[in-house]
Amino acid sequence: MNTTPSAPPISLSRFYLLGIIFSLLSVAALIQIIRLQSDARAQELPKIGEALYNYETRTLYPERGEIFDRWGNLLAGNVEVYEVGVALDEVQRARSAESIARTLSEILENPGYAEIKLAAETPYQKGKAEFVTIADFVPAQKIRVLEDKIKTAKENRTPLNLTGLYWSAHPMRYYPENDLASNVLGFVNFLKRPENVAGCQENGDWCGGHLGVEEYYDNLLAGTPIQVRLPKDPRKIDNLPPIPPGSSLILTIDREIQHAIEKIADEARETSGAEAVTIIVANPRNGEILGMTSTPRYNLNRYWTYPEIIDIPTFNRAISQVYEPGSVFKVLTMAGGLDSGVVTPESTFLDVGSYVVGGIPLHNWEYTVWGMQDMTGCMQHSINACLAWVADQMGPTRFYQYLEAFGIGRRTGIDLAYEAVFPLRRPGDTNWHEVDLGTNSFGQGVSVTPIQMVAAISAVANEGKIMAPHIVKAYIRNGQQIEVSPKLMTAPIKAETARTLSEMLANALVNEASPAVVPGYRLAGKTGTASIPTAQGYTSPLTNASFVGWGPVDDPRFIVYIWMEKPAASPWASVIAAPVFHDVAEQVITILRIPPDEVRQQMKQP
Amino acid sequence: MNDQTFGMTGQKLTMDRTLFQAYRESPWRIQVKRIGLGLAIFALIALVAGIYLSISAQATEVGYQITYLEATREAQTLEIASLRSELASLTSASVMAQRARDLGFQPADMSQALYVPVESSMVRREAQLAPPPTSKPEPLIKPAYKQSLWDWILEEILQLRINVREAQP
Repeated sequence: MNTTPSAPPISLSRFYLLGIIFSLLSVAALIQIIRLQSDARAQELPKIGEALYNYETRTLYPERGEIFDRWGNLLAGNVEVYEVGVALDEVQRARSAESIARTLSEILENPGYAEIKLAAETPYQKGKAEFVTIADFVPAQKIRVLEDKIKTAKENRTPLNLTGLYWSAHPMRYYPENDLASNVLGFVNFLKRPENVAGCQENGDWCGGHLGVEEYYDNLLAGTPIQVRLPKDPRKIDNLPPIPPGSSLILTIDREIQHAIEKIADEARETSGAEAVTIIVANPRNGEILGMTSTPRYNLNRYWTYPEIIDIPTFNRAISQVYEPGSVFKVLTMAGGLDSGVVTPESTFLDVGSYVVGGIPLHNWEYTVWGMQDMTGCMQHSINACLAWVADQMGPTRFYQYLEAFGIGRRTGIDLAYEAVFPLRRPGDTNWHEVDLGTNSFGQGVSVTPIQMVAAISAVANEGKIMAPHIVKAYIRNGQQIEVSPKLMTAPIKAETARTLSEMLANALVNEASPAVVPGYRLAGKTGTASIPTAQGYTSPLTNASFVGWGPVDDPRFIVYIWMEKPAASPWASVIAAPVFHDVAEQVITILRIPPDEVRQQMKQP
Repeated sequence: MNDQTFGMTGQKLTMDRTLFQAYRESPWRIQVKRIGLGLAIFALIALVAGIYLSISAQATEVGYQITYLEATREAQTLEIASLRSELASLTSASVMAQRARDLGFQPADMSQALYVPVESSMVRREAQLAPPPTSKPEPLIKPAYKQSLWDWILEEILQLRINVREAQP
């Protein structure tokens, strides 16, 4: 009998189990596929993969535009500096921290050996601590020293283990003239580079241009950063698209005039004991600012050393600080009086030392009495009562119409950041009183910036027309120089009025033998000594001394405005500010090569 | 009739067989042919791969060169800007004034100034650092590199006609 052993019974349960497992895995895979296809985040995965392994996106920042004076002298440029750092994994693998610290500390002033070593020995953490910056803004010369050291070590076969040490160049804003025209230029906060500080501007942090031209024209100077997608595969490498640099600016500033007025302002501040001195030189014919300074100035290459630099009104008092100008304002009152026909140069006024407006007597300075005076005499002796009378004769409506036409109470629109303005109180305003007509006529109870005064009074020097004051003469964009055309702001007075008033003020200067007079040149000018209001009224013995002058009277080429804040040596503008005007005018005449009147007349003759 | 037909068919079959046998290649020839074909395909693939490798290598090299040149251009642009700033620093107003003083010069005194009429061309000109917008820049690539042969012939014919007309009295 053939008895074959029967096969053991097959356990199907194991097959079933395997089947179930594979089925479940298939279902899971299917679910995952559906999820990946439908999940919005999953859609990003190919892009991330592409970015990681195929392409990289880089933001390229254009070179910041340069700033020149009207003759092409560089006022703000860029220099090459380096960021030095270590790749932590490489340093740790090569154990080069000690060598790096020793070498760098010999070259860099800061940080020292211990700090560098500590930084280089930072434990490497992928994605968290991979690279440490040891120093930034390292001058190119120091990097050349480092490179020489490495080269020498290689040549001499001396061991120098600097594995993991890297340095890369980037531009830094540089002001070759240091503090020259600093109040006009402003600065770039290069310690916060836009490529390093994400959302810098959104956070309200000043990471670009700050103050002056640098802030006003920040967008133009900075240019437009572009994002490029670069393949990592070297076979696919394409050339980078051209990145147009930021526009460069040519200012109306004349470096020689700027240098001269800054020197004069420093000397004037020292001799007068004034809190601050502000000087503006402009061309009344086209509104170009030839020079503008305000003490103190700042070395823009070390802007972070001045904590007060963020105090906007004191950075450039010429445009950002309002003050009661005093008698220089009389030029505007007299211009209105003459232009409206209320007075003529021959009109007379009997000065008894005061004039009542709105029931309040307004006195002359030091209660002086000048007797019978014509209008030239009123301006020459700066008689408050006389100008209050002129304003009274004009009436409030006409007087304030003229002030508005001169741009008082409005910004001039000069192309500098943070121009200030103080509203002009007019009849009908709750804080306007009848007496204000009188006090405003001689520049009290009204606040202006020096640039407003320059713009307004330039109408008298420029045939009745005010040209918009501006600081940028031309800009260079895409390799082309585009000139900025002078703009006519307004014409508040007639040309004839302007000529008459200029003659009156020129005569006044000569008659009083003012220290402002420059021999050989007929100049027009007016002093202004203003009381400074306090909470208790005009109780302070301190004054603001101002002077405005222009010339030559028959063909004005410049207008100069001086403001000396709280001078200690003398409160009088005729003593303090007039000599400063003389010095400035002399320098400007020399630099602009304006021949004396006599020579000019001879040259005009055929 | 049927036999005849059958006989003819049988004869045809015999002839076909003979013909088939007559054209059959010997096995070694077939082998050589196949090896040759295989080698040809291999050579072709090798050639294509070689060309591809060569072009890829060249493209890679050029790619690296472009990257290097771009980096160099960037560095040189920065260096030029840096040198310009350095030059400006060396000729700044305060430095020049000091140098002038060291050389024995004095600031110009108005009383010593002598004014003489000069030609306008001798007067100092304000900064013109770039051409004005009206002037068209010279094209970087010459038109000859961009126009077709047909365009060039037409242009030459037109120019010839203009020259002939101008030459006529």
